[in-house]
Amino acid sequence: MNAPYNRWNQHVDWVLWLALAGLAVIGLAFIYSAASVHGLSDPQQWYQHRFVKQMFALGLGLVLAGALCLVDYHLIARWSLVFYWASIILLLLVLLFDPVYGARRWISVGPIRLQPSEFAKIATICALGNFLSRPLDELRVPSLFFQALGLIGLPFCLILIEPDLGSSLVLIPVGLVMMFVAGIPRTFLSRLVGGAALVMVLVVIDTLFYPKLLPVVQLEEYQKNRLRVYFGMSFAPPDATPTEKRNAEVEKRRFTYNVDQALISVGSGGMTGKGWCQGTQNALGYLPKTVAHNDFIFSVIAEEWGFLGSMAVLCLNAVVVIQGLRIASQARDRMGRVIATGVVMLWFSHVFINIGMNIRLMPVTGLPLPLLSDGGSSALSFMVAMGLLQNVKLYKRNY
Amino acid sequence: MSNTSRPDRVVPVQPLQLQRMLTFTVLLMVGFAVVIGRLIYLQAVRHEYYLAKAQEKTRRIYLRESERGKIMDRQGVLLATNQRIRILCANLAYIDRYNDKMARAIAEYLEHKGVTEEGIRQRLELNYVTVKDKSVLDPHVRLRVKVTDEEYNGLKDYIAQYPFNEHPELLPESEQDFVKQMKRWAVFVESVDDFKRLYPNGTMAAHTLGFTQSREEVWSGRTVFLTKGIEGIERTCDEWLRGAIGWRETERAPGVGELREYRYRDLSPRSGMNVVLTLDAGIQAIVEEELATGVETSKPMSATVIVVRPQTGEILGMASYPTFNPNKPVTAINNGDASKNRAIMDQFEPGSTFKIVSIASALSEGTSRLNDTVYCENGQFSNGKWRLTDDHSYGNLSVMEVLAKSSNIGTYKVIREVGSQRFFDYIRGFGFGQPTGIQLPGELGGKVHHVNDWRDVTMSRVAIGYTISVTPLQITMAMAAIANGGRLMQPMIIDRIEYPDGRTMTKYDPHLVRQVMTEQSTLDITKALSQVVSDQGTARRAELEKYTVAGKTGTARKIVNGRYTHSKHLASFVGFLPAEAPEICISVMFNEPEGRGYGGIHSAPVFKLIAERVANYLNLKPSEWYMPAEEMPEDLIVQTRVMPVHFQP
Repeated sequence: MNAPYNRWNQHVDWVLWLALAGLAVIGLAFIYSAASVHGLSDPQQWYQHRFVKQMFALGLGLVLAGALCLVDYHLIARWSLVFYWASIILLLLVLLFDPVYGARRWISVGPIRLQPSEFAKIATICALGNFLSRPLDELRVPSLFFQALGLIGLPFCLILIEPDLGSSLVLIPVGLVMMFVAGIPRTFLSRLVGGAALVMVLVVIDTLFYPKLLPVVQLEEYQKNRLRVYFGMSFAPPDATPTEKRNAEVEKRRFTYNVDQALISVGSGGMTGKGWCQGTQNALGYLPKTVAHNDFIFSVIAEEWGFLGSMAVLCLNAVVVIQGLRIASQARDRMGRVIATGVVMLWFSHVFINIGMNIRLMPVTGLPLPLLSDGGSSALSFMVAMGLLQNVKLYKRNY
Repeated sequence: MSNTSRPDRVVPVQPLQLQRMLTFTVLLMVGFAVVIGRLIYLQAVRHEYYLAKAQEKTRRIYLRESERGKIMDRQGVLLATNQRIRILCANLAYIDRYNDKMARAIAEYLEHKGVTEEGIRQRLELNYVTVKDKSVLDPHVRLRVKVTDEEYNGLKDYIAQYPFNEHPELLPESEQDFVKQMKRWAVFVESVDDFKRLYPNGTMAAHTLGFTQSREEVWSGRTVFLTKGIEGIERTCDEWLRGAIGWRETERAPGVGELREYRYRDLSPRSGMNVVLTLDAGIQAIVEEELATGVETSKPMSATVIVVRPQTGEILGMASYPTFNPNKPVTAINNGDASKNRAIMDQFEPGSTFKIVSIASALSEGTSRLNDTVYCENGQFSNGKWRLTDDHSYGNLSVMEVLAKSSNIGTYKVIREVGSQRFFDYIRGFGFGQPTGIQLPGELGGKVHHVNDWRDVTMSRVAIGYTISVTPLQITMAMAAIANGGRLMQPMIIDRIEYPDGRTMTKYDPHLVRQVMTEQSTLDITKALSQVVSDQGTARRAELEKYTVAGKTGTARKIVNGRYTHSKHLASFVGFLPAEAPEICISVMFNEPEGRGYGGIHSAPVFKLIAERVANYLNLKPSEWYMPAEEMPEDLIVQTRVMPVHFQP
């Protein structure tokens, strides 16, 4: 009679959700801090404020996650191809919209802007999880491996041409780890990883040293520049005239500006930070206001709460990841395990790449920090992803 | 590997997958560890470095310049003050399509400041700024022109009557209204903490006041621009005048500037002290006017007038020609000739005016008396080695007449009795050969050769004012000492220093340098000097109707190419009045006047004009009687004097 209630009570992962709540609260607080523009009175209505929007997105995500838990994930997996193709259509649709900041990433429906790539990631995880849940022997068939690759490759390419290099690249580790955990033979994976690594190295060499090895695969100029910033290379080709070199220097300073300011923010935070809303780098706009609340929110936290704050963020994320790994290892079947692993890897990739670019471990890519970065689509999709994780735990015993 | 896992196993977790899960977990933990390590490096190890970098960009010190103290004359007339500078701004929203005409109107009115129409027009173009990463129109533009309040008000009036349309009455009402609004609001000013030094009387007392300039200075380790006194009182009293700079430490944001909310130290500047001079603007005006008149008739290379109160050494008026306008310091710096304060910076051989020193020392020493007779060799004197001549040939003259007629031979014969050592002592005693110590920069001391270096001929030359060099101020102070009973005073230019609210901070007292000669002998020489200004003497033109004048002319030949020339002279007259109770001592020097350069012709008339007006201005009591000095009852004069207490030349 109260079986559903008991099941909820026993299998809701309270540790996970507490950690998520912590992250959400920190995120809201620092979006508020980062979005408060100094010296200018904010003309927006309260409901137009960024953190209110974010709160709304988080609430909606929680509701969706709860709704997702009402049905067994097997049912979701069965329908996953529908979600998958729906997201592919959205990814195609997004290409019809006008570029914003030089990229077509958003679909505007009235006042709401959706970022389909965020949902495509979840849909791809579900579809791949469903695909890889077939018997182990089948996974050794090369054609199936290539089908799995195609399943990842389609959204990868569509997101790449938006262009959103970060979001497309993040699919690669996620897909690899899912295939790895699902039991795809090591030889396949090692070849894939080797091939991908070779292409990466070639792209990097091509960007940095101009030998024009890859005439077909060319990054966008700003992506090349980000890579050059990361490796500390000059923007000018070796045969550039002095004027071009000077211009390239100016251009480089423009590109390194965000990263330099982020580093200063993090470093100047020290042990305890400058206090909430007191960070000079953030409040005075040295850390540009366009990025402080989304891609560089970690810098704001690190500046205003210091090492303790950044460790708090890292620990909460570690709790999420560890709980996710526990759920994955205790899953009822391979499908559950693969899906959970995919979600965990997606989460971890976002955390690592985003924080990495804030502290100059990684090149700059526009990947949001889960639940902390401002962005409705991202918050929504990560809450749904957590719902998926919870679902795997909830239905680990099918009684 | 996957062969090891069998589907018929009871445990649902296959070892392969478990192993791979473990690998995956380890991978993620390594990832976290790397991030944590990097954070420790950035936030703990390199914290100081990044904190310094963050502060270096945001923390700013804004200086608040203090208002420079004012300079006033003894009556409180402002000689140097400050004007608040404002930045001219325009609101484009009110100008719109009239920007060309508005640019023309502003440029026409401010043409004298070097404002060009093209420059203003460029500023009145649409002004885009980036706010929140959006390019928006900012109607508020700074025209990069600094104006004073007067200029701003004048400009507003000019714009108000400027014809922006040929037939304003034919325009639609909305258009008329727009123009009306534009005239009222389009141009405005922003206040800044900046002052411009203003000398309201233009060239008046320019050499005494000096001028200021914005100079680079290191202040608290930072290079800043500060107003600094370059010449004159502005320089000597710079420490008093400049006050204390205020500053505020604050945070700044890119593009926004200073952030009021983040100010954490704000020190108000302290205004500088006011300097009250001994100058009297009324006397200074008289001096400058009459000097200008004299310059017009005599056309000298340069000229100097000094008016001193003998009892205290206070300088009441001091003017030099050529002069300059301290409001335009750039021209003053470029033209060092004009900004030179000749009263203290010119050195020349004084010629006959120096005979007062010679005769005074003889009278004071007692080697000669006023009525002693000297044989003047009929104008030609020679002792075999060198010659001495007079312009006119005289036979026997009394010492009084020697001075009145300015006989070279007579003077030499008088001073020969004193001896070179004592004569030298008197020269030094009167303050020659060293600066007087007036509180003005750049004063020169003249040159007096030491008596040990004198050759046989030297004394005959020094006695009549050659082979030594003096400044106009030195000779004036020497004459003032005679007028003051032999007491040489230090010349005073600063009367007192006042707080900005007018309370006196420091009062300067007259300073007695030394008693140069016996008081009795000053009476004798005064008698002789008043003979100079008589029908008998060389300075008939200095004679006044109501006052007895004592004075001495000088006509010194100048050296050109190593020889004394007959064409270039220094014409001078130094005198005081009233002779029986001196109140003012005036010197007039014309350097290389046109024509025959006699002091009696060029300088004495200017002296007369100045003396007459200054005496009226000061309400001096007219001399009740005038009679030839030899008939002057001696006891009458003695009663007005105090006998000297001690005498040490």
